[in-house]
Amino acid sequence: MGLLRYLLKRLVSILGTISAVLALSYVLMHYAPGSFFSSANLASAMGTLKMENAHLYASYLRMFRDRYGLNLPLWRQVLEYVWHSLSFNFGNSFQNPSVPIMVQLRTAFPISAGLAFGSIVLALIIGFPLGVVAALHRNTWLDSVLTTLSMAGQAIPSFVLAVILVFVFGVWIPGVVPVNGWGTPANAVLPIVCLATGNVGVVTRYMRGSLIEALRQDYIRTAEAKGVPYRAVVWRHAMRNSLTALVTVIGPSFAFTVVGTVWVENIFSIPGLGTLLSGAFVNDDIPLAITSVFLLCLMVMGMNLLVDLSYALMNPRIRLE
Amino acid sequence: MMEVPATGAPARGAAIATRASATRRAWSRYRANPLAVVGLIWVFLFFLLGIIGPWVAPHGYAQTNYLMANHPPTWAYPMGTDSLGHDMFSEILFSIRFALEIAIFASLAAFTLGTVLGLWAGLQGGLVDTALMRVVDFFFAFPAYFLDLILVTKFGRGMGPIIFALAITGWAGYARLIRGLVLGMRDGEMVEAARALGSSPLHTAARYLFPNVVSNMLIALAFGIPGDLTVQAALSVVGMGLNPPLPSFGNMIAAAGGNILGYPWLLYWPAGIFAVTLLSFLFVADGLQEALNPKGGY
Amino acid sequence: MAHPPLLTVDALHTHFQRGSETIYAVNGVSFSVQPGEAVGVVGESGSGKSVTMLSLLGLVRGRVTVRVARAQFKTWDLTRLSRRQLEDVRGRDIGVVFQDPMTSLNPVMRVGDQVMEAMLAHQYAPPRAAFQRTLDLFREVGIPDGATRFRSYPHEFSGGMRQRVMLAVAIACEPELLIADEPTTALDVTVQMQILSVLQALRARRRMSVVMITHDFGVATNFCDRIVVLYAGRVVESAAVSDFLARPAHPYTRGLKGSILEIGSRGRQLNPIAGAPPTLTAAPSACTFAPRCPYALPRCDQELPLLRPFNPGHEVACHRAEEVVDHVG
Repeated sequence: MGLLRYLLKRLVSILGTISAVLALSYVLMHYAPGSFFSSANLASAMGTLKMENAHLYASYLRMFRDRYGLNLPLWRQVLEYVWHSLSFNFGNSFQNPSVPIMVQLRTAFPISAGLAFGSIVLALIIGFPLGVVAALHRNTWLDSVLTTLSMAGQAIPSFVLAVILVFVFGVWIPGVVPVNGWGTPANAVLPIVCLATGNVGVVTRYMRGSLIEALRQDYIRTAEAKGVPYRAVVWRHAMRNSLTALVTVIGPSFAFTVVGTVWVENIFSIPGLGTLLSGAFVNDDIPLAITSVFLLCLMVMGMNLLVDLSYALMNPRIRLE
Repeated sequence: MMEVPATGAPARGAAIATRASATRRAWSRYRANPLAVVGLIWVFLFFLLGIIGPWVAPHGYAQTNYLMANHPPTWAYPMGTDSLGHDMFSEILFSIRFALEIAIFASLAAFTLGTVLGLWAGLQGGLVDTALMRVVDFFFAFPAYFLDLILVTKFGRGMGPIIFALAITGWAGYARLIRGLVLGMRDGEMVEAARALGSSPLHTAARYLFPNVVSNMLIALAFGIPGDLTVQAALSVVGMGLNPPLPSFGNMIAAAGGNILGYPWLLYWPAGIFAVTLLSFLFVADGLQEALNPKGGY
Repeated sequence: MAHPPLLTVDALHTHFQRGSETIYAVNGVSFSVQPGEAVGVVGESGSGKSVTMLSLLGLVRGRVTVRVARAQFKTWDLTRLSRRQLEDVRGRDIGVVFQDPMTSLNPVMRVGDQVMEAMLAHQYAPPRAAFQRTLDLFREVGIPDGATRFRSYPHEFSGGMRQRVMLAVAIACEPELLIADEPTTALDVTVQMQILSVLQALRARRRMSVVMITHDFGVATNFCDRIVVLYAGRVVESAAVSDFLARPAHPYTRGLKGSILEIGSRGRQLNPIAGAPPTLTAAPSACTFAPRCPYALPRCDQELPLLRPFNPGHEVACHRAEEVVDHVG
């Protein structure tokens, strides 16, 4: 019951935030100096038409303005844009006007979402046991090695790692896994590894920290005093509490993975949202740029919501406010 | 034998002694962490290269030599040349300079803005606090990187616009941190005790609030600068970074990504130096955290 | 004594390593507990009373060294037991109640499960019986509506209720010895009384031995049969409560006694002991109480007073015990 109300509240706040993001992007992008909508750009796009046929030029201009609603007052433009975007009607892009953006997204979105999700699952599968091992062997050489490695994984951005991996698997040992393109499962290996590395570091370090913290608590001593075997003390008592603590800090890092997909897709030439996004920004394709930002932000917020919900489910004292 | 220990004067003296030795103890804790020390040395070197780089660079950053394009390292070009015949060594020296300028100015601007707004929210409370924290929440709800992209698109890809974009999207974290510190300490036991002992508000702030705030903000800044280095480079990955011919790690690394099949030196140096630098910053930030705030954080 | 003691501890030493320093927390503590007896272990915080009991159970954390000549519990020497064997003794033969009920229960586990866990860990009862027994225990420690409360989480309970849960956990397997480590310190005064009376009732019904660790002299004298006073990790006096109240023989004990404010004692001067107990960074070689002692002689700063029989059933570690006991204070 409380959970349902919380969910509803969160969805409303996500709707509010995403609308604000859309409105802000629209205003900033449409009034950018190099914007596609600036009269200078429009004029140059239509070449010499203005001189040759002033009437036709004016009517083209009118058609264009009508089509993109540019003759409406700004607040109406923004409202309509936000409304259309929220109902997933993104219109057509400038670069590729014959194809609705929605069609481009239908292939791109699943790719990016899959990369982000896959890398997080991989990071959890690797990072979780490493963190537990480090915590149970704290202050030994094994712990120092794991901690240092996880810091390195955390520090190196995925795009640097991606370029290095392209070099390693493209030049040193070519033919093991493809370093470019999309289509086969093998194409997903390197991008997912790149995206997961940072999170492996984060999960390992946070898991280590929160498990050590949990093992220091009084209720652990109570469990030991009851005669519960140490192994069971760790798994039944410490683990559950440390996971609850872990979830509260891991959210931002997982959300940032979405940004990582943008970089990694560009480097491995993967036709996901990130590649769409960078193409759109470089070519001043405003509708596509805002739409891809919109969808990536939705992914981030969805990720955050998932993390928060799992926290609520794990913690009996649901303090969601 | 029934003497009541005098609490007033010795306690004050003790507080002063604790402050001085707290710094010393923090430093000795920091020194005990070899990774943090190595990181600090590299960060120091990096700053040094950033300062003297433009004077020791053998070539200008925009100076090209098409006859020597994509040349492996030689005496004249110690780190080789890229596809336009830029000297990679000079490019890297200038990149360090520009990267540091952007990261430091952006971090300081964000830091200042965040500190002022955070203090305002924390001290004023009420409507101001609520409104400011709403804005902060908004900035936390989606990745700043996307807003950076939009701002850079609007204002251009020069040094100034990039610094502006990073500052605009970076202040929220500092604001939230300092507001939390102010709120936590306004009602904290330490301040209560100091007030009860009759110390003036200003004195209380200077002695008890300031050191705690400073150490927390120092840690935040130590995490913030490498963050800005990363974002700034990441803008280049999607083609929206610092405008060429201004050299940047992002551009070099992104370019190397499409170019390395034959010319590995284009990757080794920029990627290596960049990665080591970020790692060093993290070691320093982590060391600071452990030294200054041993109980907080992980 | 007709029966052999339930627990005999002989020369227990516990030292911590903190940085480059060694903290001498417990320095040769000896005492025994008879079957059915309630022993109060009394001392200020830092006197080593909790560490003494936790050392016996292997529950001390950190870089710690425990040395003991003998720690006989029933037929076992606790110090010779393996970790597994010690786990078997803990909770089954020796129950423990800790000080802070707010932090001593697992926040993400139902309280009923936490009680049942103690029984299941020792195969004391099959799950169904353990569940029934948990409800009975809840009733016995005064938790109403056990069937519903079984499914509650600790944060839904008040401090007093949580301490009742802790009591249920500690006695779940009917241990012969209950160690209560400051069981009432974290509670409100009225709740303290309730918990003590529950504890009293549990003990009376079972003839179980209790070691009550407390800094509250009043609690100890009301609840216990015999009192062991610890100072700086050593036993300074051990006596039956009556002896203790009538003829305290150690200056520290006299000070402690003076520090209780009894109802009706209004107007009598409260007589606290000035100063604080020392933190020992070296093994004691002289009387550690001498710096605070009104009776101290030069000899006390040179020679470590050993625990010696003073009267039958009354032991004291003071060079001047005979003079102290006759001194009218």
